[in-house]
Amino acid sequence: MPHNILIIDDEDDIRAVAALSLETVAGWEVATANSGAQGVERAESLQPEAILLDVMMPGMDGRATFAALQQNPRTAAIPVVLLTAKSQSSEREQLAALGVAGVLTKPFDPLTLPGAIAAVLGWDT
Amino acid sequence: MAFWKKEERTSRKSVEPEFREIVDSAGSMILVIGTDGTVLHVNPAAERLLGYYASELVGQQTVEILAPGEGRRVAAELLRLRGSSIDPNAGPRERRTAVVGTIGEVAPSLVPTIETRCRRKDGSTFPVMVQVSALRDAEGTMRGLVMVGLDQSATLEQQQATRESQERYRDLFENSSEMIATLSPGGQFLYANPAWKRSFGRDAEELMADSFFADVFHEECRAYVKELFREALDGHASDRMLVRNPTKDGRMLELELSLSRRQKAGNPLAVRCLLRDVTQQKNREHRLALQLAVSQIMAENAGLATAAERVLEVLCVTQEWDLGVLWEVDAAWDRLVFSTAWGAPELAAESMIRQSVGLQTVATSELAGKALAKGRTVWIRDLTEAAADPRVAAAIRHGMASGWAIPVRVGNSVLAVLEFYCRRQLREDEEALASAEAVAASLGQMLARKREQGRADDLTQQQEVLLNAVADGICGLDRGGRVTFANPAAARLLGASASSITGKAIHELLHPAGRCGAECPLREITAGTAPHAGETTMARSDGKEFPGEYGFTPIFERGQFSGSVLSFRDISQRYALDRMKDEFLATAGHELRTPLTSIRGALGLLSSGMLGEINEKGNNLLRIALNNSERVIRLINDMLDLEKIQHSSDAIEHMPVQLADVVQVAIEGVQPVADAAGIQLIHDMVQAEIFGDADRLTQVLTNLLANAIKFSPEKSSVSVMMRVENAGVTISVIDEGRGVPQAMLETIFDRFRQVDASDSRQKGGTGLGLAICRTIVAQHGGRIWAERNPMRGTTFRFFLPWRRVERKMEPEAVAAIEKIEEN
Repeated sequence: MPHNILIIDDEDDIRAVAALSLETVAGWEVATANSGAQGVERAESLQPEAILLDVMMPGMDGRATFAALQQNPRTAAIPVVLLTAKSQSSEREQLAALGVAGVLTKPFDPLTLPGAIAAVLGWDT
Repeated sequence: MAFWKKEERTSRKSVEPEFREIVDSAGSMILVIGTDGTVLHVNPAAERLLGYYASELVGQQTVEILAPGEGRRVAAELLRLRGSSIDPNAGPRERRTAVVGTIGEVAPSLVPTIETRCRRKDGSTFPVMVQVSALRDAEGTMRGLVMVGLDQSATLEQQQATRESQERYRDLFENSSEMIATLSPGGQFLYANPAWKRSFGRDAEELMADSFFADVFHEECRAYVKELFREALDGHASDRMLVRNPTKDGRMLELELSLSRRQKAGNPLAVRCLLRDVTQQKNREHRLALQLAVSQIMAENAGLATAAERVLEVLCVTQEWDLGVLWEVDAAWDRLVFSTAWGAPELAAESMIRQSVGLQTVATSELAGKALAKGRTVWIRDLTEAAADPRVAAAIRHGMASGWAIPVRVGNSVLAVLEFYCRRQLREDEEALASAEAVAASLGQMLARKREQGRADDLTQQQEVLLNAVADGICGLDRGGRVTFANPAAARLLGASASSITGKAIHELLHPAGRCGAECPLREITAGTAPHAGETTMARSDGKEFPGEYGFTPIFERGQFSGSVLSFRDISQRYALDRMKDEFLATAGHELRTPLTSIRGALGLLSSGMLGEINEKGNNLLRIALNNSERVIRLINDMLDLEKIQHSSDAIEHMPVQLADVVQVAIEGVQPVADAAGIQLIHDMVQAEIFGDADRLTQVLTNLLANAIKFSPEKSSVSVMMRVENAGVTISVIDEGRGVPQAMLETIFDRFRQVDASDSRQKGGTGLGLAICRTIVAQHGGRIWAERNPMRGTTFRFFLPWRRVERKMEPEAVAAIEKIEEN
């Protein structure tokens, strides 16, 4: 069974590239959501193995979305990997301190992205 | 000489009585001596003069009545009559025989009177004129000598006294500095002492050849002298009348003339003339008077122009010069600018001044310019010799004959030049020059003072303008931290008037009661004497607060703390700007990275071939696009990073850092790259802990290592060495690469500065790596630099102090930094 993962990002292009990367490079099943609210909704309905969550989004940003996922008992257990455009280590540490499974930075290399996610989540690739 | 009896022995009895009486009554000393030297007769005058009784002498052969040595001398003199000389070893007896022989042979008229000295019985001597003649008997046989002596004591003394008296008067007259003359009633010189030559250049003979004594004087004063002479002849003596006598060589002699009549029976015999040269004395008096006048003018403290003009006037009037001009030195242009002038009240001088006004001269060929260039007085006795100078030519046209220029100096610098002209031809006169130079010195002092004052005024004005213009609040504080001065900005920042601030403690103004604790740093600083800078919240008089930055500078006068200056400014705007910039950077970072993420991702997937086969040209293009998108990403990352480190106060953490770990991490990070490039990485195992940011330091070392690897040839090595020092740790990265040119060792740390402009494209660098390194090291209080290795390659070193020194420095910290820098 291939892994399945939910990508939540407001940028259509990034969503598309990331989905393509995970599908073609790793062969995972990918679902997407274009906002935090939609992401929470889809996570609850789809119950993905993991969620790739963009931090900087208009309206409900990554932190709020993560908080919402945590508060919902049906999604609280799903591991979340944050994707941020900020490369500063102190910021990454702050984000990691929220309780997420891991933090990855943009821009990413589509060929290594699945490996990086798998490493964070402890999946075999 | 018949009174000598032929047969008789020499005795008083043998002298015939009548002659004996004559002999004995004679006032002259008369001695009769036999041919054998026996004294035959001594008259009473001889007894008296010689102090012997006749009986003591008569019959004696050995009595010496001549002064010691005189016997030999007299004998020699007498022998010379016969042309013979005496054996120096001859005794009295041989001498006598020779003398007797001589006297006997020589005609009496040829025997001279001899001056000699006789010796009294008591040994004292006296001058005598001696006449020696032969004593012959009736047959004409010589029986002895008659010696007649005349005492000369009285005569000689009188002569000498007269001679001495004359000598004294002569000496007095000949050496007198006063001119002394005796004039005939007709006015001719009868006598003139040598002093006349000194003043008039003519000796007594020349003077006595003159027809009239008044002719030796210059025509300007001749009539006056004649008048005085005539009055003296009439019995009205003149006593020390002042005569000003110009000399041919352009000097002015000041003389005091006294004339008085010598008369006999009411008729004038002669006129006594005493003439004294008082030029020097008068000059001294003039100079003193001049100095006094000049001092008074200076003391009145009038404007420079007025004072200078009056000084010129006083100088010209006392020295009888016709025109004086003051040229001031314009140091900025090295030229002379007309300042002021004075001219004798007549048309020519006025016209010459009018021509000078507004003139500027630089030409060293001109009189004043020459004095400036040479730094000493230039004197032209005859202006026609310097007519090439247009100004001199003008002076000649205005009837001037002599001209000179005197530099006005203070210390080593010439501040002005005084230029003078005179209608009379004057030679360089030391006295006049001394006067003028003394005046020039006073004028120089005044000029220097006025200039200093002017400069001080300018400075005060500049300072005031600056203080009023600056946006920073500036307060002058007394030793107790109370405001003595506040500029308008200080008043504005505090929302109060400058006058209401003055006198209040600055701390109470900035931190009104209750806004800060007892240990408020600002309170401590403004009460202390140490320089300090920092930030604090400040309050306006209406209670509104603003973030402020301040600088506290103590003032020490001669080592004593005398007060301080506190400058402060409102930095709310800077805070706002910092916030805006942070937001902008975050947004820009996100906004730029997001599209780049898509591009990078899309290109990565395409070029992986996973989405389908792409032909070779297409693949090439994809690779180019991918490389360049990565380059843009790195560039954006580096730029944001650099901005962040430079301007964000929390960009650098301060935690204990094990430098060995940093080295380890950095080497592990670049190991794959080094392996790929075939380069060996070497590092030592030194342990050291500093305070800093481990990630940032790793970034620095990674960057240096990456550079070293990038520019090193295959199979070379790159070493990391750590050296622990007193002040901190130096880490060196040594490569064997192509090296950095000497000229670029410094600039290589600037942004976008690479050894070769094509490096960034060929080697994939952004041109910001070393700039980031430098910023990070500086944030740690350290220093980074590059050195050329002796053989090849480059060593990049960075020094990190044990603890970062705060920017808001305490004096100890400043000292520590200085020490570090020295090392």
